[in-house]
Amino acid sequence: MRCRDAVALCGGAVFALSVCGAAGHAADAPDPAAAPRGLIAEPAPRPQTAIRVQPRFAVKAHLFQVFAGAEYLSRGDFYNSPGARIGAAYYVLEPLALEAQLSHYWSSLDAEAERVKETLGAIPDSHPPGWLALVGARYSIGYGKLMVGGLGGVIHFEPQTFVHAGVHDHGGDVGPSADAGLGFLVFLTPRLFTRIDAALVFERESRSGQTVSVWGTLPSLSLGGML
Amino acid sequence: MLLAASWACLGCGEVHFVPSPFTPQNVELIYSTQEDISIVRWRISSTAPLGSDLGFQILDDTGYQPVDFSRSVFPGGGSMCSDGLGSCFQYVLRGRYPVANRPNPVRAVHSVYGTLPGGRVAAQTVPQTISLASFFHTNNDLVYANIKDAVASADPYVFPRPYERTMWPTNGLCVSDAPPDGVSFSPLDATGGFPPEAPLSDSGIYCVAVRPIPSDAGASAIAQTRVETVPEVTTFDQTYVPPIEQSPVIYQIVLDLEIPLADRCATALQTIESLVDKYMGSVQVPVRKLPTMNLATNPNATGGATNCAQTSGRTLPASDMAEAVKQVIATFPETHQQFHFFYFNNLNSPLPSTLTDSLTALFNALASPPAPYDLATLSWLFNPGLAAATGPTWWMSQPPWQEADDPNFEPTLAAYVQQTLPYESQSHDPNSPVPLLSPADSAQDDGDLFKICYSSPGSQAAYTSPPQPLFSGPSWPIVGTDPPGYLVTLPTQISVPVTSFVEAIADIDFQICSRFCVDHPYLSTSGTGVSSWASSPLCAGAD
Repeated sequence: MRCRDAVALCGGAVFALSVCGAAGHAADAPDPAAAPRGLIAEPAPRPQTAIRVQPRFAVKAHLFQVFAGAEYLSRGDFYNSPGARIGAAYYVLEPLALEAQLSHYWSSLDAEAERVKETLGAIPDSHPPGWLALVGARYSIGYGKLMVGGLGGVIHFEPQTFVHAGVHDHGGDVGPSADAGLGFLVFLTPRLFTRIDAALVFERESRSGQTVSVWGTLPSLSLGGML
Repeated sequence: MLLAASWACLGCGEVHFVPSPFTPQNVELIYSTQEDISIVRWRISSTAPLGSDLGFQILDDTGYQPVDFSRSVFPGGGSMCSDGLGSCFQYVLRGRYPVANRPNPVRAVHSVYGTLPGGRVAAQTVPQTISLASFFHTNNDLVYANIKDAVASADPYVFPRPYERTMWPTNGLCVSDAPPDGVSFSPLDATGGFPPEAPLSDSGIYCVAVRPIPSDAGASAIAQTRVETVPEVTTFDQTYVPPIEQSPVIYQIVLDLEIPLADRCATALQTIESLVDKYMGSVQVPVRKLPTMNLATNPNATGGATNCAQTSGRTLPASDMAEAVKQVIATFPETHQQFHFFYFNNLNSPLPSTLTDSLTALFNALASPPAPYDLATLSWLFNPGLAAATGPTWWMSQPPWQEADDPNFEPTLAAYVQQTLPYESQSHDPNSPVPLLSPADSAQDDGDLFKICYSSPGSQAAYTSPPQPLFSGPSWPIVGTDPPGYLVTLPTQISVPVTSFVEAIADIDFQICSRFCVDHPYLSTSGTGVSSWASSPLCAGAD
């Protein structure tokens, strides 16, 4: 894959943004020398830019990724549920990976539920999130890089989308779970990356003798590497 | 938007607040006025065994203090609720717990859930928590104490407590707070039964008391009740079968054949006699055959068949034959007898008047057997048909008979013997009592009472010597010189064919009461309570 770079200057801050489709194509840049001239002469000549073709910063196809991170499961269940995640992915194609991940949550009643418990001895009939095991797919929507002045380098990133399904074990309640969302991966080096995921979670959980549908959100921040 | 929703920590799903698995629920406090104790009970949803991760606290003057179930005055702690839903806890304190200013006396402390306040207590005061019903076992060999104990069991709380028991004879009520001096308590085992002190008092009336054993060796209330010995009875089952009489088989063959051929005559005579002897002799009773008579003897008969040639003036020696029959029946002890008279005549023609007259004379003579016998004359005519129209009334003249080789002859004899012989008789005099006891047993039980519990068919109690029906009461005294018995009416059967005979029996259950027969309650055979054996028609049950 090849991407076309555009460079602009803005008040001392320099940034470069290059975005292309995952299956993007190299394109020809217009030749400044061939630009048509108007009746009014240019006050200053445009800067000359070179057209360069760079290799991809990080190649993922047919490689494994492993990652670990922190997350927070929010289901409106009166539990605070910070958690940790480990996982691995195999990129069958450059943009597409098969993924598995396991999360554990250290859940505790939130302040409101604590007050109810201390007053009445009652607790929510929701189960404190414990374990979540998911498998699914992750797709890189695109690939880009961003140069921010002062950072000393270019940020290589990928917007992603993903969908998973699996099971949960929340305080002994075992049931189906699924999530789907968007991710934003930033390569720190060609082999190291960090990623932010934002997912919507759906689960079926037994509460007060009935199975109910539970929706939640699951943001996470991961750090990983390519093998 | 997804990112925003995610980072805003949104979520949804139906959530209800419910008691935690370890939150004390249904907290209740019962104060027993009788025992001066307070029983605190609660239940939790969890069925996990009580362990170090869960404890309970009870509120006292200084605040919540850990519940030490080992200090419960009577059995406490946790156990599965009897309804199977969660765990139930009980803690028993002496005195009255001041529930008025301690509406939430119990709370739980769990290693994960923390402190969980219990629900508001439901308090009540009950005047009595332990009561007793007692009874003697059959034959007074054991005394049972049925304890109703609201401390030990109040669904779903089951915390059995140990008891001590005692008993003492009395003539009055059992209302004192303590047993008389010198009466000590003994542990009551799980069966609730214990042997009474022997010998039993003449009145058979006692006070039985039980009391729970507290863990702190303090005082405990007693529950007592009055108990009476049960009637000492013996149950008998008697089946009376009137004697069955099987009649002996008495028979005689009279031959009166017309066969011109001598050899066929001889064969016919032999066939007839052998077949009759074969079947009549096969019955498993005494069989007596009177001499066979041949009326058709004519030395001048043409063709040489002198033993199968009828003469016109032939006759029977009726009086001699009747006398012979009467002599035979007198040799048997059986009262009801039958005389089988077989007459064979192969000519399809009326009988001569000389013969019919002698036959009539014979049958008439047999109609008056010697006393005490009764005699039935079973006259069987073997003839093609027309002979039946003359002479005496034959008992049987079917099927038509042609000759000795008649194919129906042998099957007819065989069927008759198999289905009819021997004749059986059974009779019982309804005015003659059937004894329930032998004279020796009656003398031994003199003075006891007897009653008939059940009889089929219905019967009437009676004395037997002399016969005297008893009408006044459900029970009567046994008189040693006049054994008890009963009058019963049974169907009379006289000379019934063996296959039709149905044995008549009388089935009697009766009881003899030897002690505590009057005003001592018992449980009847039907399960109902009865206050006095002597005045009730109901017999005592086995247990």
